[in-house]
Amino acid sequence: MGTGLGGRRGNGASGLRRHGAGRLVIGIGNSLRQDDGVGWRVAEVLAARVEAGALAQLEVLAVQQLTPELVEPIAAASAVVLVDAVITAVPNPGADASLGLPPLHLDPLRPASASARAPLTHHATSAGLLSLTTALHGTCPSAWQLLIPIASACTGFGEELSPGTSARLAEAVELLTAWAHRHA
Amino acid sequence: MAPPRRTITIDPVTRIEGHAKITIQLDAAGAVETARFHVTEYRGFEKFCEGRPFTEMAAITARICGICPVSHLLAAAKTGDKILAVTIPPTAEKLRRLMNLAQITQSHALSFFHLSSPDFLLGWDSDPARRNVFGLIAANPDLARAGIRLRQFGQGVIEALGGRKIHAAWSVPGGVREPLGEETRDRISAGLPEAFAITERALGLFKTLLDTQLGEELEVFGSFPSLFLGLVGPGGLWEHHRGAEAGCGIRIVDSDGQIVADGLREDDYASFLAEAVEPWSYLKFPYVRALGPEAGSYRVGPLARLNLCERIGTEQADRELLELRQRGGRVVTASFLYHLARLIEILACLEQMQQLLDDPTITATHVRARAGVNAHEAVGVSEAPRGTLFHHYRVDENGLIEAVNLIIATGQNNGAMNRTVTQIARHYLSGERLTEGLLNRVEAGIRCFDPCLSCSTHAAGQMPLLVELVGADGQLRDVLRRD
Repeated sequence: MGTGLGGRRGNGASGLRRHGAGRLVIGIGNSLRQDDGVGWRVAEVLAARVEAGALAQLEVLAVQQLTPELVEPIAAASAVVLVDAVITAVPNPGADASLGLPPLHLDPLRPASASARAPLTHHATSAGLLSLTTALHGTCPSAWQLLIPIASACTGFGEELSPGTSARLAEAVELLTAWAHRHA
Repeated sequence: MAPPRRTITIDPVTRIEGHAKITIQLDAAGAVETARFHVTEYRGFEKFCEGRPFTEMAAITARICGICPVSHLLAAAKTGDKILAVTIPPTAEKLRRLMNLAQITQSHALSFFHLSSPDFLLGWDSDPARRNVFGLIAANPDLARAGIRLRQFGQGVIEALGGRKIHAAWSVPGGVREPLGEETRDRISAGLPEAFAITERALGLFKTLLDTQLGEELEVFGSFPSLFLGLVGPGGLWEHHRGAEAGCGIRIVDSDGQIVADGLREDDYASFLAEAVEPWSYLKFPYVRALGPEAGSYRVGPLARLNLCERIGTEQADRELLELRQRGGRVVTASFLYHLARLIEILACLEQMQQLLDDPTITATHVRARAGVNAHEAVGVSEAPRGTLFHHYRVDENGLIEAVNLIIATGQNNGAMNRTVTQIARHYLSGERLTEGLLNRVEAGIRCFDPCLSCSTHAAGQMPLLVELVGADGQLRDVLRRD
């Protein structure tokens, strides 16, 4: 990264960062708010796979929210997936197969003219971040988003995922592992 | 009979950082009576922490906020030091200071370059679709890139020390987990010259804007007398980390520069601070207990810290502090100058980081003191980017948390934010029509304080900004929506 610091592991390395690989996965979420943190958890599991040698040359970041400096690893990547939770009206999505919920899938993500900003906060969107990358670097890698449906009732204080979202986490990890192999 | 009222509500419900809205209360004559900055997201972290080991509090509370996790990390670790009743190794103290300086740098960089500078550079009445970081890139791409570089630098230092940019559970009760290696020290040092250059350019640009086109904002955006509260070091030096120790402590000054209280101990915060509760907001209103909720209202954060200190103690920052005081008085009451105070603090942080990195003991390897539970109640304090942060824990004989109270910086500026919104609305609202210009300025008034409401689930969905004007008869008169 730009300062010559961010591209190196710190001396208390967390195991979440892998650099210089070309492919990037960014997991987003608050791991203290139950299912809201599923994107973060996906990143943790993927990082463990990289650590174990099951996935080669994949950079994995876990973030609580999107911030402008993420344009640097995104610009340096050849392909990127942003993994996030999304609230649905279904009370416990993923818990009951009879609900017939569609399987998770990667949606192509394109830079969007993020015309509005959150007026009083530090909020940023995935598409807006890609747009910022394009504006600053003149280019942006191929990008996808993986949205994992969660229920608003499962976003209280806590570190455990609901059973349904735990199942979705496993599904997401396999989907991203396959993606990483396809883009190797 | 009470005069009929009409209400304007500005209601941005955001995805990440809690829910907030602004209501402007009109009287029968259509004049602004008052304005309220509501925070409606209930924060329940204190309850969540009960029963957890105090040694986990640094890691847990760092996850409260994706913007300022280091502040909670350090306050929690300092509270833990007191429960252990240890004096941490000097190098651990220096490393914690280094991380806090990096945290203040990156947080202020986000606030100034990406959240606020589009307002200054593009104008309050410019198209909202352009008055953002993308408009900034179009208007001044070098400034936009510089902001990202400076934020990256601060984040990089945090990552180099803690191994993660966010939620680095590196500062622990008794010290820090890992010492600083020489290679890492040198990499941090190598990034300083560019960070200095960016900050100096931004200071020059912003001071020119203040001199040429931002005079009205100085008068209208939260300009009022109040108290200011924060830490000061020995001899009144600018301080960001140490609490009541070695000549440091909490100071309160008034707008005339009189020291209202000095050398206050964080352990005694309940004796000099009280928190008012209003039914329309979950954010409490702290005030100086002896003076009551009105007269005791105070401001914290970068402007407060610069008002409180006698000097910063580093050459460049002290030069800028002198200029700030020539511009705004010994005690600066214009909240719009929080922006300038942030840039001065970044400069101070960079200079102090250089001093720490030049200290040969910064790479010493004894960085942690170990002990059991020796105290059952403790209060830790640290200066977060937005102001003074208190952590108060009570633990049982096994070190399990029985009670927690957190006093966050944004809450302490709550009263000042409400006064700022009221002042702006009174100046700019005319008749019963809502304008983008009014909305922009109200938002910008809040942004002076860079509030951080990051205590919410992030997946609730981004909502539009909605402004409603409701007549005395309850009928909707006007709506302004920003998607």
